[in-house]
Amino acid sequence: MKTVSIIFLSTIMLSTLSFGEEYVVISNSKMKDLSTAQIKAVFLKKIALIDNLNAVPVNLSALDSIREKFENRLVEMDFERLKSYWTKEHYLGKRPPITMQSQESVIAFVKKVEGAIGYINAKNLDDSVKVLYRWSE
Amino acid sequence: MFNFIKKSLRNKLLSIFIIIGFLPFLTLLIYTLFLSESKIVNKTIDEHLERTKVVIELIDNHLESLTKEVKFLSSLDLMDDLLAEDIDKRISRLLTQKRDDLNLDISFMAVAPDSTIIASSSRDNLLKKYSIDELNVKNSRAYVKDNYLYMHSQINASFDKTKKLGFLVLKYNLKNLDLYLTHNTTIHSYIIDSKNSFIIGEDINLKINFNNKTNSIIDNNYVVVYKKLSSFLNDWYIVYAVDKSVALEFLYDFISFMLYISIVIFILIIYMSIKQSREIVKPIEELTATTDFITKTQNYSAQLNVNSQDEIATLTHSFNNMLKTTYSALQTLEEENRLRLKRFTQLIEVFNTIIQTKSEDECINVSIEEIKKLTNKENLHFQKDKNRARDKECTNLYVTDFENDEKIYFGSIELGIESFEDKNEQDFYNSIASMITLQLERIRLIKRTTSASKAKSAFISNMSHELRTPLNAIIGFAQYMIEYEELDEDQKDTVKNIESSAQYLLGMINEILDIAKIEAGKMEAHLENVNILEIVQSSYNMLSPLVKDKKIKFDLLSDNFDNKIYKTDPKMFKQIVVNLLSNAIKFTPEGSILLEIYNDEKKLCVSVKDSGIGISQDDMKHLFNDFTQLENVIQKRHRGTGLGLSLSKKMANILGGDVTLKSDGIGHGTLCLFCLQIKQG
Repeated sequence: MKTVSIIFLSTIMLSTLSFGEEYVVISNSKMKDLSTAQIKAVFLKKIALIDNLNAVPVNLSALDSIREKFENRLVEMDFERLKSYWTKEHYLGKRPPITMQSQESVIAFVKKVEGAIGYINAKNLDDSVKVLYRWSE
Repeated sequence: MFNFIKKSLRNKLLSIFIIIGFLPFLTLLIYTLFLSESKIVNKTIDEHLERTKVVIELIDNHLESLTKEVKFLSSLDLMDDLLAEDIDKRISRLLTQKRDDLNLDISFMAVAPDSTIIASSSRDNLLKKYSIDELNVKNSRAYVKDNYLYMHSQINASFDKTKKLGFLVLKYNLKNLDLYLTHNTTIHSYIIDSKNSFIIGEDINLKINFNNKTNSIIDNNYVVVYKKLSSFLNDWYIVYAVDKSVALEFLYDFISFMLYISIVIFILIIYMSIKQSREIVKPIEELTATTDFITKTQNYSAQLNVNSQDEIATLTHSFNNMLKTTYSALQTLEEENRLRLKRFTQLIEVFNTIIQTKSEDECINVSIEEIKKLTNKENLHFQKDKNRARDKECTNLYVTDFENDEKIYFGSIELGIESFEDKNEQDFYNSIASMITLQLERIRLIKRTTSASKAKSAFISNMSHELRTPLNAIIGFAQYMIEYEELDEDQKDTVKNIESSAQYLLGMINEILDIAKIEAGKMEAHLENVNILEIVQSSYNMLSPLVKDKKIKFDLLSDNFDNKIYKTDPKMFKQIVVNLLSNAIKFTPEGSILLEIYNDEKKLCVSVKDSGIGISQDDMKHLFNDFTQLENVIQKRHRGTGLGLSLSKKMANILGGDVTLKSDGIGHGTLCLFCLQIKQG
């Protein structure tokens, strides 16, 4: 019974946790700390170099919910606005950030590339990457 | 060797036809046999070189497009996933997708700089190590290793072009190139490396030395064309081998067709040639046959028939014309010949007529008449005057004067023409003249001789008559003296001698007289109805006393005789029989004499057969000459005029019969036969 109640409780807890899930913006460990404004600038490709380091923003795929949340939270633009933004930027020779299919890929990429900045669900976080910003909703 | 051709026009034509008919064909055949093969082979080589060029281009394009693909793929942003070790399998999926699209035996591999294969179109080689050394060669986009072509392109990070993420490698199985090779039963194609060690496509076991400058090989079975591939495979060759039999199949077909056709055409040409040449030569052969026929039969009226209108027809026409001319010439000649013969016979007739003339005047007249007839000339006449007009041609006649033995002028025949047309005419008249002369001489000679002979006979008969008168006086007086004078025995003997000598002389004179009479033609037969047997019997009786003194058996045989009354001269008949009998008795010393009378067919024969001294064959021919007694002992023993047999024969001739003598030689007796054609009374 006890075990059953423990499983039940933990399930409820988990569900409450998921409701208030935590996300992180990560970067290569060599990256210095960045403010949200800086992160926003990097993702809009307004900043290319950070301390002589080539900043490489990594998006998740277009319809990913994390991406939506990240963009709403940090970039502060919804999908439609970003689309028109990147259309405009395209003519200036700038391209939107590269996209990765999965959070694992993002982690692997960020690990490899020195100036890489990405975002993942906090539960996937490991020690090999540096956390620049953390939020939950 | 070519004599049989030279000898016959037909063979000549035949060979020319065959040569003309067959030469172009032969040329074509030789061309197809010897030249066209290399031409066709060359054409095949060119064709296939062209084809290899196209194939090489295709392969080039193919490989080029693949490299482009590789390059394109390597430049995709997606390749950034390499950094994330393709955790999402996005690259692998793309590569697989791509491989499937290309549908080739290939595999794409994305290789990280640490030579780990991070993404691949095939799962097998994932995370394997890739020997990356070749990839680092600069300016190289591809290399060949273990029969695979590796095409590679460096992958750079999309966000940082200087950042090298690794390589995209396309492992291309060279066997894929088989797609571009032609495979069928006739054309074998393959791609081979320069060491002849690896072959893509069909292996036909052909060693090719690629160091040769040419790019074709013609061997017993194949026509081989090869060309170096370009770009990545520039040590490789594409080889096209065409079955020679197939490449030349058409040619061989054509050649066999030509051979069959040539046999047919050859037969046709020979047939046509023989036919044509025969047709051309046929009129010539006919010409020859006709000529032979004419030569054999001498029939110049033969003509040739021609159906054609060519030169041979012309030849035949002229031949026919020649024949016609010859025929007419021959006809004319024959006509002339006949005329000449007629002239000749006429001339002979003239001679004959002239010969039969009996007097000089008649001879001259007849001659002139005949010449007139012969030459159709009217103004011929005989001229005795020697000093006639000289303005006309004439033939002079000279006759021989036998007494002085010289030619004397007799006269001349005026021919009434100014001059002779030619020598022949003159000769003609001269020969007639000499003929007339001959006849004149003959007439003269005959006249002379007959008159001389008549004179002799008259002389002899006169002489005999004159001699008989004194002889009769001598005989009469001698008989008188014996009968009436008283003479002693000696005187009587003397007078008897005188009488018998005179008698003998008288007999001889009588016989001479008879001979002379016969020669003078005065002896004639006086035919009467007589009993022949009686005459013979009386002759037998008359002479039988002469036999008594000799030892001779003398018989008369008349068993085979039809005793009738016949018509003949009894005196002459008897004289002949007596003559023959007395001859037999005279020349038979002893033995037998058989007188026989018998009928032999229509003849009446009297034969006297004795066993006397006989006559030699040589003497037989002199027997019937006048005054001949055989010169032997007989002459000494027997007296006689020698006129007996000759006279008998002559008289027998007058009676229409003959006397013949047969003897088996001296000492074997004689058979004397008197036969005459006699008429019954």
